[in-house]
Amino acid sequence: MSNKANVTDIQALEQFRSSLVLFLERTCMILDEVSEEVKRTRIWLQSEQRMTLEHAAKRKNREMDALQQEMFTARMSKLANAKTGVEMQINRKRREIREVEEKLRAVAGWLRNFDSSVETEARKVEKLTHLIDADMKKALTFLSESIRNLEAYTSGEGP
Amino acid sequence: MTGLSREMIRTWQETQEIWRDQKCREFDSNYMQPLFDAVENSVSAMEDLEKILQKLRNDCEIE
Repeated sequence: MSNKANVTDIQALEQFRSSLVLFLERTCMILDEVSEEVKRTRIWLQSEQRMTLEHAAKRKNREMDALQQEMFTARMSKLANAKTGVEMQINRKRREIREVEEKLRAVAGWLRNFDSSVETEARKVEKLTHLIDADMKKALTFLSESIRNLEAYTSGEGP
Repeated sequence: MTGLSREMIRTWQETQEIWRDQKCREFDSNYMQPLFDAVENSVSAMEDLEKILQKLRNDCEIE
């Protein structure tokens, strides 16, 4: 292997350095966005979505109470048609309540396992952030030094 | 990020055509190849993460 400099266009190397800087900046922006998305999701589970579901469960339970009261009234008045209609509404409401309860259990489950599922995968993504932080500054310094050495070499100042 | 990475690989290949000394090989093995490997792994992890987050949303959102 030759140690002799063989760059025909130092400007191209400088352009490459600029491209690398731009690539690293854009990559870091994407990685930051991924990291933010993970944080937002945890907060969404902890507060917004849990509260939304709890409110939905309360509202649907209140609606169920009203339907049961309606059913009681229909039974008392022996209105068969009304009773059947209310029964259907009660069954539908029961399914809706079950669905909200399942979602609430899912929220609790995802929160319990957030570190082992979401964060584990997020850490794999973050390895690139660590590499950029740790090594790419050195890489850019290496490139700058190489460009300087090559400029000195081509201008006859080098070894 | 895949598109960015492909563009960077192409730019690096073009640069290697004009920078062909020992320093270039050193730079490639110490920095560029580890960077491209890490980007590839990161893209794969991002895809898996997106699937996990999609399942999380499906499990927790009400229609």
